[in-house]
Amino acid sequence: METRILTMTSQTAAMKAKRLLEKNGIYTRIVRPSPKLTPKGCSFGLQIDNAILSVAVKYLEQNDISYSGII
Amino acid sequence: MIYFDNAATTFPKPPSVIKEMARCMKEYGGNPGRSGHRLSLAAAEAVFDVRTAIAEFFGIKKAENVIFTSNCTSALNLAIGGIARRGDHFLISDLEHNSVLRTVANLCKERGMSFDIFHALASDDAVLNEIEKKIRPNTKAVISTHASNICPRILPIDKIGKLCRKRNLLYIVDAAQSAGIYDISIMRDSISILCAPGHKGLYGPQGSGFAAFSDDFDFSRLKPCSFGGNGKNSAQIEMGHEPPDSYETGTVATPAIIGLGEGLRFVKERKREKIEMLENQLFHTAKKELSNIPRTKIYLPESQKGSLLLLGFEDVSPSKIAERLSDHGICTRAGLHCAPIAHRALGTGGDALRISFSAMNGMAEVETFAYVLKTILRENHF
Repeated sequence: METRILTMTSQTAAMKAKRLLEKNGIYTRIVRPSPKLTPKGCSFGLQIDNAILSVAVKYLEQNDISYSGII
Repeated sequence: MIYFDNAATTFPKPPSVIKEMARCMKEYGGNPGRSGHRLSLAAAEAVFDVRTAIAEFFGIKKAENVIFTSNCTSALNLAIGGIARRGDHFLISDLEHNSVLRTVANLCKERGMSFDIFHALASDDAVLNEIEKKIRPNTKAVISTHASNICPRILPIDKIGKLCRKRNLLYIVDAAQSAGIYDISIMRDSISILCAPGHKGLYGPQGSGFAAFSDDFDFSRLKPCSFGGNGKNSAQIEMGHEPPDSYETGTVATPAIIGLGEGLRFVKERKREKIEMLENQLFHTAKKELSNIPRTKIYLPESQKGSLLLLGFEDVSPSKIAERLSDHGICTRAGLHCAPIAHRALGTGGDALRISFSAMNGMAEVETFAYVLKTILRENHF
C-alpha cells in the first residue's frame, strides 16, 4: 500500500483530523515526519493510504481543518 | 471535618479524578505533542479529549481554542497580556480579584495603558449604563468576574457580552467562581475569552486551568506571553499565533488536565443545574441560620445571586474566628481573599470570613457550622 503524509499545522489539528476522518470510515495514523521534510521543523502528520488521499483532503477542507502540505 | 473553603479550591475531589490521574501516570504518561511513540500519542489523545469536552461544555465548536494553563490567574495573564497594546484602555469591575486587578495595573504601568473601574454591586441595568458611559474610543476590552469571590453577586455576562459585541470590544470573563456551577456559553453570551480554573467548580486538581476563546476569535490579536518549545515548527524562532500550541509552551500538565477532564465528567453526571441548586439551598439555609447569631453581620450586595457568604463580627477579628473554627475542624477563609477593591466596595474594613460550598456539602454541615460559630462567639475566648 502506497502511503502519503498530510502534514498538519498542529498536533491538535492532527487529532481533530484523525477523529473526523475516522467518523467517515477513513483510518489514519498520526506520525512525526522528519523535520528535514517539513520547512518549519518538527510537525505532525497523518499517514494515509494514497488511494483515498483526495477524499480525505475533501473532508478536511469541508470541515475547515487546515493542513500544511502533503509529503 | 467540615470543608467550607470551596471558593479557594473544592475538596474533596471525586474519586474518579484521583483514579484517572493515577492511571494516566501509570499507563499513558508520555509527553503529549512531543514524540510519535505510543505513550506520547495516547497522552495527546487524552488531552485532546479533555480539550474537546471543555469546548463543548462552554459552547464553542473549536477544541483548539481551549488553551490549557496552570490556573485561572495564568489564563487571565495570557488573555489580558496577550491582547494589550500601548495606548489601550480597559474597563474592569470593582469586584475583581487581584488576578485581574494586578495584571491590568502592571500592564498599564509597563505598557502605557489605562483602565477604569465600574461598580458591580448595583442593579444589572446600572452596571450596564456605567460600562456604556465609561467606554472610550481607545477601550480595548471589558474584563469582569462572572461570580464574585466574596459575596453573592453574579454579573450579567450575557448582557455585558452583547454590549461589548455591539461596541466592538473584547470581553474577558473571569469564571474562577462560576465555571461548572453557573450556565456559561461563550458564543451565546458573546464572550471573547473565558478564563477558568480546573480545581474549583470543575473538580479537577490544582495546577489545571484554561482560557477558552470564542470560535470567531482572531488569534493574530493575541501575543504569546511565554516562549519556548512546543513540539512544532522547531526550526523557527517565532512562536506563531496558532491555538493551542503557540500559547502552550513547555510540557503541559498532562495528569492535571486528565484530572480536569474527569472533574468535568463528574459535573456533567451530577448535572450542573443540580449542583447550582444545592449550593443555592445551602446558601439560603446558612443565611437564615447565621442571621440569628448575635454579633454577626452578613455582607450582602444590592443585587443578590450566588452562594458565597461573607461574614463580619462585632469586636472580633474574622481571622480569629477562622482560627477558632479550624480548631473545631471547620475550614473557612478569612482576610481579604485577594480582592481588596471588592472588600472596599462591600465595606468590610479589610477582613471578613468567607464560607463557600460545593457539591460535596450537605445541610447538616451548615447546621453544625452555625452551632459551632454561635458557641465560639458565646464563649468569647479570643
